[in-house]
Amino acid sequence: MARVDWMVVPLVLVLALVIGYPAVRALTLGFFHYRLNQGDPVFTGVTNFQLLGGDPVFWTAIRNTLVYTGVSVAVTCLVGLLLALLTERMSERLPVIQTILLAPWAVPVIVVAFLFRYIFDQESGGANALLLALHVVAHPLPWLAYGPLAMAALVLANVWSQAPFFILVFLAALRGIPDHIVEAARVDGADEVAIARHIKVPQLMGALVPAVLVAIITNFNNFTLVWSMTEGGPAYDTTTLVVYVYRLAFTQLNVGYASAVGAVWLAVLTVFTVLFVRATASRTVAA
Amino acid sequence: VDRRWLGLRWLPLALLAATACAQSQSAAPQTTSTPSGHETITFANWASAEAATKDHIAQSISEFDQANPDVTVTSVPVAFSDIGHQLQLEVASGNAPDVAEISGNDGPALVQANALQPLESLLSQSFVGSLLPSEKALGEFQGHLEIAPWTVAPLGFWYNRDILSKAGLDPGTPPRTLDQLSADMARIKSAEPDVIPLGLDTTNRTFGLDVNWSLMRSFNADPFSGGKATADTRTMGQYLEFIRTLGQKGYTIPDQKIGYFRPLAAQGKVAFQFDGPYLQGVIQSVNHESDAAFYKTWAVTTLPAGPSGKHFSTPTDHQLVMFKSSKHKAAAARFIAWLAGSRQAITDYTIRYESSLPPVKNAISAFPTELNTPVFKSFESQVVPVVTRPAWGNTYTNGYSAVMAGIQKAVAGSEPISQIQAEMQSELRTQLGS
Repeated sequence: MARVDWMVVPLVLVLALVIGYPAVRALTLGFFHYRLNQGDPVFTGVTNFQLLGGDPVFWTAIRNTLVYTGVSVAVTCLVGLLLALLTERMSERLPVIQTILLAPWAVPVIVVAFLFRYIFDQESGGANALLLALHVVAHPLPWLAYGPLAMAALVLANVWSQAPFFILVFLAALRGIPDHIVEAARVDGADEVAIARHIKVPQLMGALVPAVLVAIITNFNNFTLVWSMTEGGPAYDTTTLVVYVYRLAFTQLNVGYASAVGAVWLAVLTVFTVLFVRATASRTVAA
Repeated sequence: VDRRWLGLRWLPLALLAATACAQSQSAAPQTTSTPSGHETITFANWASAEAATKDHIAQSISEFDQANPDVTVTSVPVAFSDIGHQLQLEVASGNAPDVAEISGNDGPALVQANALQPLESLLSQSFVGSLLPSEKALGEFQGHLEIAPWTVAPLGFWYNRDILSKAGLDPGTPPRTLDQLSADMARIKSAEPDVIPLGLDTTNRTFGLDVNWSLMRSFNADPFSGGKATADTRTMGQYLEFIRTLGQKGYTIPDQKIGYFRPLAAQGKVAFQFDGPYLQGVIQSVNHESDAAFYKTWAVTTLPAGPSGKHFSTPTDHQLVMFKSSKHKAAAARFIAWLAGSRQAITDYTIRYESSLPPVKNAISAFPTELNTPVFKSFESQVVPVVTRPAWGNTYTNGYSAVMAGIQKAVAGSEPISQIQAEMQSELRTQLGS
């Protein structure tokens, strides 16, 4: 028989108030026509959700969110894995290397955004200066004013900012691999690449699942970086769902429609999370 | 299962249901009158949020407090980019300030939200009578003065005479038509490749559309005429073709705020800039140029005329509003009149730190010492008379993003203009419900 732990009641109440209420309120507002400056909400059923189907900006935002999140997480994960494997044994001899690699994680996202905005500035940015000096390009590239380049710049800034998270996770997991397994492989003649491929990487899968999940959720909701670097532009080329919701709710004051987009955004994230967890769980069981 | 727990587990859900169903109209503005009759009014503004003006607006408010010992003004700093939606949220939640500084579309959007207090019966006849009619008209809606003018800052066409000279152009003859402007930009780009021919804001903000509105009107274009989507017109196509030329030929840097170009202008790297009178203050704060040196280099006139043959300008004035919910309307009206109309506030703040004209008739003869500059004279005689109010209000709020997204596609992309127009029209139809 379960015992009541009364000590958790205040926590549950606070969570219900600060997380539950906004979530429920937002979901319900999706069924209303509610513009902040046009009077009280009017119940319109599923009209807002029907409008989504014919809203090209919404579909662009979905695509951008998937591209931004997918590419960011994949590249960050690979970079993190590579750097963790390369620097695994440096912690004792050259601890400063790992410290430097982890430093970007300590930089606030807003600072990262402005830093990379300067780097990718068309007129005076470091990226164009380097490319021009190396004669890779003949004219400065409009990094943040041309859609594909703007998305690439965003992903690059994001990878720089978040790679240390994966380095940290993988380094911790690597230290959990028993030395005798690696030594046994060496005795059997395995080189470092084979050891990494057949012993270390499979052992990291347990750490990979929660790390990737956290990274997906973080990137799905990464408003600060996108808004501060591009404000979702040019046009809607880097508008992600979270940026679209902000623009609808706080610049167009269309709270009802923004809530409908937010509900879909939450549903997509939930479905993706469930599928990902199930897929990785079955893989772990099979292994 | 413990029966007490069974009862308790529904508590959060019950709480959620109760709060989710609750309406947010219960909060009433606080009354801050004291028994002695002293009143405290709140003033939401971005002047006190910006480094360049915060000390000076504080000084101005302090001077008002001293002159009005029965009133205390509490300044509430809000960032310029946030104040529009911040005020809408405060109105919706019942805790609007007494007075607020607003600009551009934010004022008419608040009028349409029925949030503002008409001012004509609260402000003195002498104050209302002293206002420049065109400035007063910007705040009038259906016969009521809903928005009081504070600083007069229309967008003018600035030109750098040194750059024109170096490009072989007559520094005393700025382009009067858009065709001449295109020809001059080509000359400048060719002679001085490091110079940006035109500083133009093309960001996806209501302010971005404000800046572009005059250019659109020069082509007789209007993306939402009569509140309906009208982005597929021939004139709108001509305007977008002009914007496409700016991007393709490198005449401007796409997707940048006007503030991006100002420090570059101070370094002599921008030839033409469509900006308010405050550009002078920004340039001089960057390059520490004397007034004489500034006037030797820079001059201002109206935006070149397009196919319509007319010159246009958009106001970027700072205005003052009072909210209906204010419990201190008389005190708030005194504060508004003092900020906008008192000699002390005009000389110590509006002219000196906002670098703007005051909203009064014959400003230059009223303030001959302070306003006797070529820039202020050009603004008063040339730019102010061609000011036109954009289609501000709900249509603008709902439609600006679709228009600016189209402009961004035109200035930096390669999509055919006709396709951009079709997409803009489709999105406008969705946003405007037309």
